[in-house]
Amino acid sequence: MPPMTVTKPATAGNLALFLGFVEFVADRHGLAAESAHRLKLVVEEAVTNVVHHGYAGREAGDLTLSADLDGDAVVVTLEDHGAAFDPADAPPADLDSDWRERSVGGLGWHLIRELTDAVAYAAGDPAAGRPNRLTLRVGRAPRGGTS
Amino acid sequence: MRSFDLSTRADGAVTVVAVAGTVDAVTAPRLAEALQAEVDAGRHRLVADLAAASYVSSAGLRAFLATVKQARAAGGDLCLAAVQPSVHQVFDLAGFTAIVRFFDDVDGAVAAFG
Repeated sequence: MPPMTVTKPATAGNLALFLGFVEFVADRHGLAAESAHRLKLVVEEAVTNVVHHGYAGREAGDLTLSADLDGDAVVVTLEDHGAAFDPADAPPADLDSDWRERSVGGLGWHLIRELTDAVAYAAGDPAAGRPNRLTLRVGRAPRGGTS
Repeated sequence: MRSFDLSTRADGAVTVVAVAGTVDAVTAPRLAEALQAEVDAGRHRLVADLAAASYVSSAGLRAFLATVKQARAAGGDLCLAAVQPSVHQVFDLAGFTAIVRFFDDVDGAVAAFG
């Protein structure tokens, strides 16, 4: 099966289209419910980051989602020409403070780290027209202990 | 297909908001709006019935946490009931299970308000 791909402006109005693409990918690859759930979660978090932050303060450019199988995993790649953001620089999520102080900032990257098998990031080069590239690897085998 | 539906009913002094389908970046604003409407109307004893919610992303977590804070500040609470295992895993990973009250079923959550 060839890689599946979609390219659309990274706008809030296109969120449903990007999320629908992930459901399509999970369905086409016959993912079990548990791994499809993980795939949807991590791609949604990554896509919303680009939509909300990548092109902040300027007209939204394109976001390309590509998905392919690689051995025991589905690999989804996001490419955009917005502001570079290496997930390694994301602040740690607040998991411990009490409800009054609790913030959900950083939770998206936390979920991505927890639910992927591997994350890779390469900042783009605007001068060369090279996009930022985030690669998310999600194992197809169900994870245990999820109840 | 992604679907999303909300329905609200009163159970004594408690308001039960039943959430069905997918709570993601697209649908979470509708959930946040509905919960905010309850708080604004002075209904601070809230139960979210998640029996039919199959997916909750961080956008949904944000909506629930905002309501928990507002409801508690007003002397009430938002309790979460009948959460499916795959969704509960997300709450767990996010560290919500330590700060939000979870119940196996709606009746138990409603009863917790005394």
